[in-house]
Amino acid sequence: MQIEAAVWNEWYPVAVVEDLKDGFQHRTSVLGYEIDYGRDAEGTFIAHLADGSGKPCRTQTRYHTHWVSLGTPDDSFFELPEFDEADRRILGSGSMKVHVSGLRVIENFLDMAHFPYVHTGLLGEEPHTDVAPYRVEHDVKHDEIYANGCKFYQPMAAATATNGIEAEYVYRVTRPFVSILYKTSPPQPTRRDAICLFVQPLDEEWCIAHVVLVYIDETTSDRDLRLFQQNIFGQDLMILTNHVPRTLPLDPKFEVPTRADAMSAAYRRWLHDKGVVYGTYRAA
Amino acid sequence: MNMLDQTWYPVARADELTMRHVFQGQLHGVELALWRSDIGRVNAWENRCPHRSVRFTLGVNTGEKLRCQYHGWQYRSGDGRCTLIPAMSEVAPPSSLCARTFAATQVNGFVWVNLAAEDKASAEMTFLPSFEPLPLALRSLTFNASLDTVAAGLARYADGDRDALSGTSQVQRNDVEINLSWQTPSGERQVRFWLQPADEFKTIVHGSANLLGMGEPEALRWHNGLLTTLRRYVESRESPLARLPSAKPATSPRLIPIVQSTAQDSQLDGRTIIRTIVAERWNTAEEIAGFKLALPDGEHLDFEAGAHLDVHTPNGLVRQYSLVNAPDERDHLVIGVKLEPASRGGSRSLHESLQVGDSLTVSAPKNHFRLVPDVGGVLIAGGIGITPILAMSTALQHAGLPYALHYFTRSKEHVAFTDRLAGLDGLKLHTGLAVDATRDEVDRALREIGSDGHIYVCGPRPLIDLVCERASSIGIASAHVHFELFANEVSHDTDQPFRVRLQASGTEFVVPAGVSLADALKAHGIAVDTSCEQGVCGTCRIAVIDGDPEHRDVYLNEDEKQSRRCLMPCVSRSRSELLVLDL
Repeated sequence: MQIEAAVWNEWYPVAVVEDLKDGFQHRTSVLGYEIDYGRDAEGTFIAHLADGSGKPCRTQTRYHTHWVSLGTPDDSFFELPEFDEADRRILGSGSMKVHVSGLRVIENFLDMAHFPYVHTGLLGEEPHTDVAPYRVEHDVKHDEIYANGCKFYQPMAAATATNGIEAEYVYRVTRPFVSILYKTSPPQPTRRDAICLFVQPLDEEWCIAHVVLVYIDETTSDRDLRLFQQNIFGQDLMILTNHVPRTLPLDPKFEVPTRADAMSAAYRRWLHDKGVVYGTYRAA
Repeated sequence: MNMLDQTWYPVARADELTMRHVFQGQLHGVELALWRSDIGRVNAWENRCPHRSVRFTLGVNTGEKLRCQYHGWQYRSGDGRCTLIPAMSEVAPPSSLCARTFAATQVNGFVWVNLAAEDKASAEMTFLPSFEPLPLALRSLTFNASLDTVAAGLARYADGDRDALSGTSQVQRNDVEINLSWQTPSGERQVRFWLQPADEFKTIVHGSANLLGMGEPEALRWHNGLLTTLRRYVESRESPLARLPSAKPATSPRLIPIVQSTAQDSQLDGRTIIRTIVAERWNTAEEIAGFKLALPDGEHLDFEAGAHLDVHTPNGLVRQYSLVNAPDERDHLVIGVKLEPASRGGSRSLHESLQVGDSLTVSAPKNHFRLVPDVGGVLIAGGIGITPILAMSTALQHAGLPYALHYFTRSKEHVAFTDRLAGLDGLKLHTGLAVDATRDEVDRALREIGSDGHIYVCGPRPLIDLVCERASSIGIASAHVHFELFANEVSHDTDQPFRVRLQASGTEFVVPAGVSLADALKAHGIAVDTSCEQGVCGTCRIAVIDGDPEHRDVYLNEDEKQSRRCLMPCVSRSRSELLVLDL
């Protein structure tokens, strides 16, 4: 199928840096095309199409992740200055394969209303189910969207939490398949921890969600940070694999949002305005 | 499959819809969520929540509602209307939000569904299968073959019986029902099958048989063996397409998009205005009048205990009154109005002017004072605060949850709704107490509360403050104390009415305060497509030619809002007196 430029000329993650060993090659897919990738003996990341042509893909290693592109992306990669801060913990917390369109994974990541039902006792609980209004903003210059001023009562907001707090979140979508969540860092409340969701679309109905954490935390072990994230993701997995259709409908009459879904409605509108079709639902 | 096919098909054995269970079925490629409410009503819904299309079968059957597992949205049994969105718990869900329901009924130990029936109620009442079940219920078996191939194969069932006397086999087929009988030396054997076409190449065979001469376990084993052999034979005769193990199913589940209802439907839920008729009025207590309001055309509303209405009083004011209704009272509304001498006359006009037979305009119910699900509580009411508390106590008693209702009044004559109170086991009445004695009773009441119980209080401000303070002093978490304050002085509605002109026809009308522009347009016969009715989805967008829109949505970007060329009529209004629309 002919894939639209907005999706074709983009960077897609295939692996988190710490998960590869130098000198080993692996196979995966991006946008339905099989590719071989890996780091050579000197540690250089290379990737090429696996269709026999050996045609190389553009590659980049950034934000603790190896990225490939099948097309011709422009020069601007989105900015994540937190990765340059010297006192940050940067670690991958898993690459999870999910039977759903990558766009739905991003949309689930942006949603708070499911916390009391899917992440009960951790990120939310009844009767604190109301989602207070938040501000959706469009950064026109970079063509990114933000949900600012999000608040939600969380019984156990992080691995280190000992009691419930009102968590403050900012959500950011930089590319159709990339989103970052910022939450106040408990040890240094003027700074923010970031959870990066880099989604690799295998095809329109399958994807791999690579999660990278950029935290200010001197006490929690890598293992505990990862276990907490994976517990959360595992709870979402049951929901993500049960969407019918698996692809994301952009028609607002097909799936009905509420005011609490303002960010997800803005995300769908943003995808529509960019001309994204891949991974969206088209009625037969 | 031809969608005009009005056939009823079996989709499950009745005993598979166990209490509080949600069963997944499939018919003609459509996935179904099948569940039974506690009062026995069978529901067959498209297995898809209209919010984000997550399967209903992951959800919870609460006995009255189906709760989606993703965001906890609740849909009621019967018409499938969404009744609660926890993320916006104080707003009534838009009336367009509904599960896709199919005609469903339970007959002869099976659950039957008709995907195409338009008038579901009448189809359900008139359906009757051709054959009654036989005494022995057989195990339902899935055949990977089309309905007709399976039916043809089943016609040869008797061939598998070594004792069958040749030439005696008789087959009657009526659509999806097959009756077979044949003779053996020990008598007649009979088997009946009901076929469920799950999809094009998958048919579920439900059956029953007579025992004749065998004990039940032996008969079951005998029939299962025969059916399994017959299945191998039938599947081998089906087209190769059906047998490919790893191929995608020949028919993927068919998706039925949510159908939007537009202008002409009567939509009583949501933020619409309802014209009720006063069916009864009586003096329920000193200074308190009770009113029973009949709904138009036998409609009924959905709301939960603690809900209130905006009432448009005869002298042109808007006042809030709580609903006293018990959980099973949904075809009329009961309120109690206290005569407030020091007010602007809203309650006085109700007391003095409103008579039986008069019409009274009210809003759809709203609820800021809900019960926490599945836990009991201590309820405290002072004076007219009894109205929501009475509804909530009745609901707790109906649900079998532990509760204690403490009702404080000035005197016996001030006790309202004594007939309804008589039915409440947990009632403790306190009349004519002074401040100190009231505080002691509140202390006693609060000490009864269990560790997970909740406290609900409604009444004059001093009583609410007292309860909050006493609860906090004995260490009850403030998240467990819920109150509703009757602030009937000023309506919070700051909406201004405005005029609208439709450019195409020149029609002009007023959009009153408290009515959305979209509802006003619909009331004047202009079809406006709406979906979320909260200004977030973008469906209802209309073009503006002149005037100054007051944007209350979160869909339009800054440029669009400042251009003043468009607005979202479901929530937005006008700053200018006149708004000219491109309609």
